[in-house]
Amino acid sequence: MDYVILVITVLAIYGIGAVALNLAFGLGGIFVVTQAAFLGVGAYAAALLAKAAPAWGFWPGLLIAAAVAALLAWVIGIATLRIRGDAFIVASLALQIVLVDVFVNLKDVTGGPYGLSKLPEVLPNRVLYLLLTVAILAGVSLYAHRLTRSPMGRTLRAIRDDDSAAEMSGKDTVNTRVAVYMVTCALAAVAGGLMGILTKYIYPGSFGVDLSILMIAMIIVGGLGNVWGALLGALLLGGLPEALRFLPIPNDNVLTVQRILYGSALMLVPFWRPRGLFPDSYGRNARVLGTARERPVPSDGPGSDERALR
Amino acid sequence: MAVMYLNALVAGIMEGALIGLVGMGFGLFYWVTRIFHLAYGAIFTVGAYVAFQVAVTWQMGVLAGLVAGSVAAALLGVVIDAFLYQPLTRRGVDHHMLLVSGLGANAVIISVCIMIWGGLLKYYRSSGLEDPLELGPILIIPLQLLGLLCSLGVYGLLRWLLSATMVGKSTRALIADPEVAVIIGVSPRTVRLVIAAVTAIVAAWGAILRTIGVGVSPNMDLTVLITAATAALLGRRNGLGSVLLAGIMLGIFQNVGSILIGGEWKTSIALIVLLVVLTMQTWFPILRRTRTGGGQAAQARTAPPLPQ
Repeated sequence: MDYVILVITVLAIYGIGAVALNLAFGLGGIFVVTQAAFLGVGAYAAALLAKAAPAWGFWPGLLIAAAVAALLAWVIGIATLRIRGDAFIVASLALQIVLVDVFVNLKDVTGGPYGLSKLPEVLPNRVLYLLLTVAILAGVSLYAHRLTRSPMGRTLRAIRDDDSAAEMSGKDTVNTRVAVYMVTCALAAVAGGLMGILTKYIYPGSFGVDLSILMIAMIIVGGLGNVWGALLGALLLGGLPEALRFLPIPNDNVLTVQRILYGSALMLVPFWRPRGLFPDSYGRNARVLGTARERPVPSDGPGSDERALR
Repeated sequence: MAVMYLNALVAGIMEGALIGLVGMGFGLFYWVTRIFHLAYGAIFTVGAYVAFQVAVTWQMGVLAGLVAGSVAAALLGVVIDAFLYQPLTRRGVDHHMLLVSGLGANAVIISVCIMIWGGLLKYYRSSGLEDPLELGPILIIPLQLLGLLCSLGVYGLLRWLLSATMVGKSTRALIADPEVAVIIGVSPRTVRLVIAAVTAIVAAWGAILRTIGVGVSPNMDLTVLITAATAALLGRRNGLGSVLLAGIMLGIFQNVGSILIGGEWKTSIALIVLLVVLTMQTWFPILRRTRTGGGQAAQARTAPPLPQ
């Protein structure tokens, strides 16, 4: 029974991470590859607080994790979210690697590559922990659902589909992107904090780029811009390792097979359902109306690449 | 102290040349397809593993490994473009989806490598090329010098390919103005496949030169991808030579920076340089050079059109 509770709790944590990522990626069109690193920021923040002040309990750790992540995301967002086009993806990947490098190299704070272990039991009751996690997931999902239908959600869609047009119509595209990035990172940190408190052991390897890709796969498979899609993706891909246990696969290969499956999903879903199983209704309407949804790749200017061959 | 910095500078130039080598391949693919090839690190890894398999496990020598690694990488590069990127481009899927499919391909290929070769680091037998030569106060590792010379050679080869061959001229036409290139008879599909193969071979050569010294591991794909992309991004404005130079500069920053703040930050140093440059260019557009020339099509260009 404990095992089932543990699996459901982990799935709920994945759900929080996926719903959060869907806000920036699915709704705002920001190709965020830093989700795993911000899970790490949250996990380390909550773990360090739990070590320093175990009596503070459950909520302060999560709140501080979210606040630290939001602050860091604000600094990063102000600096990088003006970067246009594919350069932002490289910047995002770079940030993911740099943040993990920080986890590895700040040995005095983070425990280095071995991480932090034997974290104090903040919430001994597993069932209560599950209920709180599911409650947080429900709250995050409701917030995300409302956000998608709010004026900010419409602004984000406009930025996603054509940021120049959104800017021309008076929208503050940079600050809106920074705001949604902060929300995404803060919620990722909450998920990371929950994960750290649950496992009582965290190390940098848990927050590598593979986890970011897994989260992207969750929202791609489930459906971009739709809360239900993100939840479905988290359930399908987060539960994959458990499903694989019923197949005759050696335990050592479970993670590798999981990676092959979600990698294949990332390759195949764009052929079959380019916006996932359950994309937002805006996407469906746009297709019915024949709206062009192709995003032109930003050029560096006139004749930018002719000189590239000299 | 000065000698230490001098040695770091020399090592940086040589290591950076390899970053520039892979960056040239990455950049050339990007200029032709406008796709950030997120599976490029996986092609690098496959080239390295196949070369290792042939050269060390089957004991057929490094030259045979080089040929086998190049062929495997070229095939993989062509397969990814022909069966993933080109069909998706023809379907007109969102640009992010193209990138996501590359991420997926990367995950699958690296996982297959782990299943075949395991996750542990594999070393080449010592060839003597790793032992440093003393030139006064400067230490030079012959293998790194070979890497520098190969990078310069590949730069020359790519320039020759692009300026003196028919496929190179077609490539330049496609990059300059895809629509006009199609009108004058250039086949985007064929050019893309040739470029996919050529850039994959460049990745394989970089992989072999690098892994002879440091060993083959399935976890190197991301670092390679990101440093190559960094060199391509930093150098793209002035072409292949500039990408090579950007790679060398990154190598110097990494090695000199390692002395200042510690070797464990080596990868991060290159990435922080990238982040600082990109941020500065965004905040201070005057730092971005403006160019003249190019028609309307060049200004509005997206990916080269592919016939249905």
